[in-house]
Amino acid sequence: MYLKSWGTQMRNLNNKELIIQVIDEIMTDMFFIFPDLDDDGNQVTTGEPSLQSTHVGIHFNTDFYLHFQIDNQLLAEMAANFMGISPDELTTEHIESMACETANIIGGNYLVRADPGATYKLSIPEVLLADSILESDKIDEHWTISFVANGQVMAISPYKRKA
Amino acid sequence: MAFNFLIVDDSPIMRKVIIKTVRMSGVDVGEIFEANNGAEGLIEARDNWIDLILTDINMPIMDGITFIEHLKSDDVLSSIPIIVISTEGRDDVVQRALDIGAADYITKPFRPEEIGADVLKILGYTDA
Repeated sequence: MYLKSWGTQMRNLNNKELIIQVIDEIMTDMFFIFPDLDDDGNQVTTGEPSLQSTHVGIHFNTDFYLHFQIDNQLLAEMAANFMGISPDELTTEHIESMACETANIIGGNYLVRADPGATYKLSIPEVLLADSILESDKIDEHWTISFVANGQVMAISPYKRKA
Repeated sequence: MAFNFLIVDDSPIMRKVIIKTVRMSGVDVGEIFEANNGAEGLIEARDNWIDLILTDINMPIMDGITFIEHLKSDDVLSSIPIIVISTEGRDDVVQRALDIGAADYITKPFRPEEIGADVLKILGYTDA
């Protein structure tokens, strides 16, 4: 029943090409990170985030959440570029804040374009513990995005809402 | 004359970037106060002289829209100009913020020059 409901809700939001486009724009314009895309905007490489990565969840209403897993090295490069400081000066708080802000900006910009009817409202992004994320909660394997930039990976997947 | 600023955002990294942007804008900066959410922002605004507020919308405890409503209903604080800097870019939300008194609305991702230009304009450094 839940999955049937999810399928209906997801129809309008299931647009991998659009979210890749949003990520590309944000990473390039705001963080000066250039993703591995070809001239047509297609992904050139894929990969898995390393163990040294940060997990963030951002809910769309109470229905589901997008799980972001981002390599810490990529977050450090983004934060350093964004703040104009050396990666050596960054703290764990900076890295986690960067991960949350990334999810917030990508989620918000995606929603503006994918949900013009304003059906959904984004939650405040939150850092998740890796062992709190259950693979069985993953909703749609085909919607998982593995995004590579500077050899580092950002993975995004929809999950059932957290209790 | 040095201007005092209040930055309201639940993201520490975003507050740092906005502070840096304000300092680089060319405005004579006095003190910069920070708050994690609208409720903390109200306390800072009441306790300090503030010339310009830059606030997010999507924050825990008190969001930016409620924060602006409180400011605009306060006889003392209602004249402080407010710039909204938010991911929330839907037309209805942007219009709502402007309707209740925000001076301008900048959506993320932004370029630092956008914020700097807005700060200069609102504080009377430029005519545009």
